[in-house]
Amino acid sequence: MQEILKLENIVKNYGTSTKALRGLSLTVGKGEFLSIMGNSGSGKTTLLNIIGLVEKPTSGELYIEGTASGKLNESQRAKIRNERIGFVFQNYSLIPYYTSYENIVIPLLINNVKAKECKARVNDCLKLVDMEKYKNQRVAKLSGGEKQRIAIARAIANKPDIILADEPTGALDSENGNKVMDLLFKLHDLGNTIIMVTHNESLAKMTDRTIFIKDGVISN
Amino acid sequence: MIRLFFKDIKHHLFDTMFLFLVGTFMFFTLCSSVCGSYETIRDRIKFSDPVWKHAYTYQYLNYGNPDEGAIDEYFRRFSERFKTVNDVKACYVTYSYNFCVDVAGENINLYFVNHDNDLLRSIRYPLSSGRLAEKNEKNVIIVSEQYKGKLKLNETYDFYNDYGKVQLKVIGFYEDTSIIDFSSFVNDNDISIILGTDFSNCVLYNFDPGTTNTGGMMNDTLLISADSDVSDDLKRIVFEERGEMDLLASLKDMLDGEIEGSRISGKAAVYLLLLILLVSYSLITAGTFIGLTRRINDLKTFYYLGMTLRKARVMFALERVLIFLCSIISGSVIYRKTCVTLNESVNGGAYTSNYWDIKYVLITSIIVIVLLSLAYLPYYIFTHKIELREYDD
Repeated sequence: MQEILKLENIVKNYGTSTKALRGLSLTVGKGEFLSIMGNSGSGKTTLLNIIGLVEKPTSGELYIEGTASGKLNESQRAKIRNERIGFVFQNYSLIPYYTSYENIVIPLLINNVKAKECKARVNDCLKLVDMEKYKNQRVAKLSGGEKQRIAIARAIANKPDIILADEPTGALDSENGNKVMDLLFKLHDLGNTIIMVTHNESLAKMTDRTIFIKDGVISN
Repeated sequence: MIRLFFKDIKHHLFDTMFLFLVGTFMFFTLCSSVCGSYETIRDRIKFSDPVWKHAYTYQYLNYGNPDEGAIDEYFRRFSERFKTVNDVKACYVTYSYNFCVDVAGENINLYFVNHDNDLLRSIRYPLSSGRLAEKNEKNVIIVSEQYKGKLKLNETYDFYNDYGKVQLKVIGFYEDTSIIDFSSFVNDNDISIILGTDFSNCVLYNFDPGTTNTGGMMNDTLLISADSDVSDDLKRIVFEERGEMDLLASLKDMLDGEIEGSRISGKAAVYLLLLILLVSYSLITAGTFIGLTRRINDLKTFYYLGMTLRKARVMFALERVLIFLCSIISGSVIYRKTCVTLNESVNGGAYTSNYWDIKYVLITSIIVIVLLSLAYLPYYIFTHKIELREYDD
């Protein structure tokens, strides 16, 4: 399998006392569905943030298709975050007073996609997550499952290679959780690389590979 | 990013309108405070001089005191006094005199003699043709252009009353009789004024009646120029003659009291405006903070979705700056309109430039920049402390 992500000896410290990651190394193949498990405070989300170029590691290097992220400036990192990475959060991170359409179009607007193209892409995304009828609904009025589907639609709006999902079903009941997982598997089938943080072992078992993090390093 | 910027403004219309209105109010009060402060300072300097150095005193008597009876009494007493000081330089005891003359079947009324100055002339007598009188030129008149068909420029005409005649030379025609209405507000505080006149059709300069019998129709009229030495002379002579300051002192006291009163109320108004300014500023700062705390997650979301933090901060700050700029424009326009309206209604449009001086613009701009910096400094401190770690487990 072709390598899309490579983490070499990643260390992340917050201040002098908190060591979130302690020399973690990991390789992720293109099109792989990887799940990350671990106890609270083990460093799962920190790892996801580093992979998503949200945070910089204290030391070590992250390669995205062979490009070392440490050499990128803030603007280049933001561009990669926008174009190549999609985020799905447990708390959705949607803008509540925006409509579904407006939430999904944000990454496209940041990427300066033309208005006509934006419209077409947002409609495609809404169709994929089966939320077309909620297009003009303010997301504050949607249920948790619906919000998460909108969040997934937003994550894929720019057709990214990598989708990072931080406990995407954590706030949902099992029915909605299953719908969200179905969507993620659907995206996986479409060729996306998915890295999902979860506490749910049964969900993790459904993915290609699961890694366990303990005290900032991979324990399995 | 621009589309996102305007989309964001659209979604925060209430905040936007609130900040816009508060900002407008703030800038309006800011303008008023600055101008008010300036006026107070200026008036303090101006009116702290001895009262007799200014023709303002006379004008104040004439136009500022609503008690017409009292004014008439002052005039009468002044006139009596000045009859004895005819030789005082630049102070004239002259005559208000009705000349009636039949010019092509119509009467032209002449009322007074005037010592004038350039400033007074330039304001009062916009001429359609001809020229203004020289200072020592006698028996020359400027008439309304409605008489152009009957009187010719630079021609001398005989004017009659029931008892005699006088020759007057027409040296100019002015555009509009309504402009020369001395019974209404005079356009400049610091120029000489004419007391006890009711002008309608022409201005007669330095009238010398010669041998003409005035037939007892003359009324004493005091004319005072803006020349400061006149006032000094008057002061000296009146003081020496009376050996006391009763009349002058009472006038001075009255004027000083009124000026002081105006000054105090002016100061109070300025302080009140400054207080309102402070409150408005606090509201803006609070509004910025509340808006930020409510939208800090939005900022983080934009960051996750591929915007740099710097751009996200700038986008939010620009929104506020844009609102503030609109407020500045709106506030200054309202200020300007208010000034114009007040000036029109209270002063008859006299102070056309005082409230829109470049000084005001500069002072106000500096204050605005300082206020903006102060208002947005907390914003930058706040947004730089955003912790992305709250997403950490």
